Amino acid sequence: MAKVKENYVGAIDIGTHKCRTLIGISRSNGELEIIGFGETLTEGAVVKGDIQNLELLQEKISDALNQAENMAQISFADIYSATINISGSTVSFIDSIGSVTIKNGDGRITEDDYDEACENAERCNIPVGKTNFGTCISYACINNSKKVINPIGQAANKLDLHALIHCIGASEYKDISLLIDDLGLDENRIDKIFSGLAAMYGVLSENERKNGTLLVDFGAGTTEYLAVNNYGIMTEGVLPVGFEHVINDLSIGLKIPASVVRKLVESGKLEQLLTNKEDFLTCEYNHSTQKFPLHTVENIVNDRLQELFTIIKNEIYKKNCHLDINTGGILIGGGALLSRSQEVFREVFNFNTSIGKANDMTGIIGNLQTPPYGTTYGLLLLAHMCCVGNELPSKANNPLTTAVDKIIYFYKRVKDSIKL
Amino acid sequence: MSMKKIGIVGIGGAGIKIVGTLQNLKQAQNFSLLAIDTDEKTLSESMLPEANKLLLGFDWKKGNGCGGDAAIGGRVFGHERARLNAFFKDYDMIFFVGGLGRGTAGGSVSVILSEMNKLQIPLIFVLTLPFMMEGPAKSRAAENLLKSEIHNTNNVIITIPNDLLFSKLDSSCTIQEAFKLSNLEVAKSVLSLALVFASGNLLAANHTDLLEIVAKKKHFASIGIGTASSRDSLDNRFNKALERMLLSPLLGGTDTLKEADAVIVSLLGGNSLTACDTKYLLEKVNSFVGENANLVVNFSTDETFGESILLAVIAIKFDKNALNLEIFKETTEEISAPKRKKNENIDGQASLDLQFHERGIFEKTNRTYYDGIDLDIPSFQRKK
Repeated sequence: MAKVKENYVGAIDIGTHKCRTLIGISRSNGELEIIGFGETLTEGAVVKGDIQNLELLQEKISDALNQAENMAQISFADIYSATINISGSTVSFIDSIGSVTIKNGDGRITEDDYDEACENAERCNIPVGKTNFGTCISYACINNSKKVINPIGQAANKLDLHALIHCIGASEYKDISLLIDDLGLDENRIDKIFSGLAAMYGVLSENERKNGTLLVDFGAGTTEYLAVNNYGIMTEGVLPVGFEHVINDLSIGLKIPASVVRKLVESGKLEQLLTNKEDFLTCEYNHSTQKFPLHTVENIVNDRLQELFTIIKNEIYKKNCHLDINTGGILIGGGALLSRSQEVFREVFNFNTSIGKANDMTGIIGNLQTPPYGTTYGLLLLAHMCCVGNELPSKANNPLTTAVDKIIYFYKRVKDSIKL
Repeated sequence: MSMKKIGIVGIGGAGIKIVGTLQNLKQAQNFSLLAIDTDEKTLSESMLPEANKLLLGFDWKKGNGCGGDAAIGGRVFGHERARLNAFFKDYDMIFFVGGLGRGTAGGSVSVILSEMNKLQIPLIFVLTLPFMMEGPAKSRAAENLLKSEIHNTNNVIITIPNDLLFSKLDSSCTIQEAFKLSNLEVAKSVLSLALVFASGNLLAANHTDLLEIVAKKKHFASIGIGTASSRDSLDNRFNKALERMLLSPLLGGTDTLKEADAVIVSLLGGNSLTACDTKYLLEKVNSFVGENANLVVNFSTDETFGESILLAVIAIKFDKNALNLEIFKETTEEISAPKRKKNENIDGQASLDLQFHERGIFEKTNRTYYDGIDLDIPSFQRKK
């Protein structure tokens, strides 16, 4: 193996429809520059976010890695820090609280206290057959009364950390490890990150993370959602329902193959019909031209979108997190490209909504600044943050990165503890 | 008496016997007494008019009953939805009464609930749980029905354990007498509830109150009935009614009231019922009820009662273990398989689902459930 190149970072984004790879370079000024990008269709290797065919997926990711490596002129195996996303039907989240009594002479909360509270939060009951792969802090509470972003250094008798423990099926977790191994990569330098968390870093601005935003990543096979407030993640979840369900509904409703519907979507005909309110959707199928009335297509699409966003709304309301969402909702993912998704998202939540795209990107951008690439860029950004000894390159310029630091810290530390 | 048309329906062998007992009670004449069964013999033994009887599943089971199998009972009722619909459509409210543990009453619950919901008729199910002495198999069957079908529904289903009677049974009481007493007590309880609902004109008994308390929660109810008339002397009739209510065999003693999570107190009397009397009696009842219990009070007057009064108390105790299980179920239901539906194949019996649901490209993938709904089936198909 060649010498590890310390300022190179990478990301592997396994999606239901496509897998994407990015290679970037962490500049000395703290900037991240994208220098390589690869993308392939998964062709059934992943269904609803779950790996169905590991060999085929490995082949597809290899192709995507080759594309990125050729563009960046560096082997992915040599880069210092990389991330890979985790999603799917077996991903779940457990609310947990880790408490610690402050016993220091001066009564200040130290980093050790914080870590101990985190460890206590992680000592929750993980369901049988599941593995904890990360922990996100929602918020810290001092003396059962004061909510703070960064409790370190503050005077207190007691510290409670409210956390969300990320879990995945043990065999699914093992599949990701095997995949990394089969790709010839070093697992020690690849962090496994929940897709929604990566999307949050890739898309949300500092202001949005501070003031409270709902982020929905409407992908092909899964939809991840996450409510963030004061830099902490208040609730998050994955639904194994995505845009493929819209395609399936149309295929069943219009009695045409899913492949024909997919072509209608990719060619922009469906978008054109719904936006321009054309009378009919026409498609060539079975050596003839078939026409479908607008209202039929509209109803099928609307029913699915309304149901999906209503489920997310119910989940958010169940946890009372709607009170934390002050800046509105942001929709990303391939499904966000359909303007009807945006409209229904707004109708269901009844607050300001917008389409998200990757933030402050430099380098080879191409069409990376579009909704489907938010998660991929977020993964690269997280790898960039972990780049050199957990130091955040832009830390000096950013006074509010402690909480961010901690989240990253936890992901790395948890990974190490699993290995032990 | 108000003009509400209220039916009291006995389902299955036990239910028909209870309705038969009701026939002998004077105040039951104001209600339509009906009987439904899959067993022709039981139905023919009933003294009800032929028009008030409904034999179900004759084409299939030839009037031989459903052999104690609730699944078969369910299918029989499922096949006869149209007849059930026609039989009940004119009623304002219906009380269903039956015994759990055998096939007909247990199997009928889900179909009847769905049909009554369609007709928008409020209903109350009063189901008795078998005596322990009837054998563990019957108790187990009743318990399974409670878990799988009954306590998940959003309806008023009151389950009364017959074993409560033992608190009042004499040691020399024969089995026949025990069953007879059980039927009489349940009949009186149902009649009292029906009277209260029929003449709700003041602080009215509200179906929604009951629904709020018992729906979707596994519970055991006990019912206490106390009546008194002018023969008990006007001043003393309230104490007598209270005393008789507390001694009701199906109440299970004053401890039951003390430990209940919810108590519904109903007082029914003639036009001479005074506010002071009502207050006095309710305060008395309240002194027997636990501090944290949810107390729902209602009182009504009916001129036909004259100087008589009827005090009915339903004490409801939730099954704490089941409540915990429900919380657990909520957290795991997304990944757990849904329960078998009535219209799916059971024991090789072919059934035709008229609404054909397709899963298309997700046919061979793991199903995605949310709240028991298969999200892979197109939303527009499920909405129909």
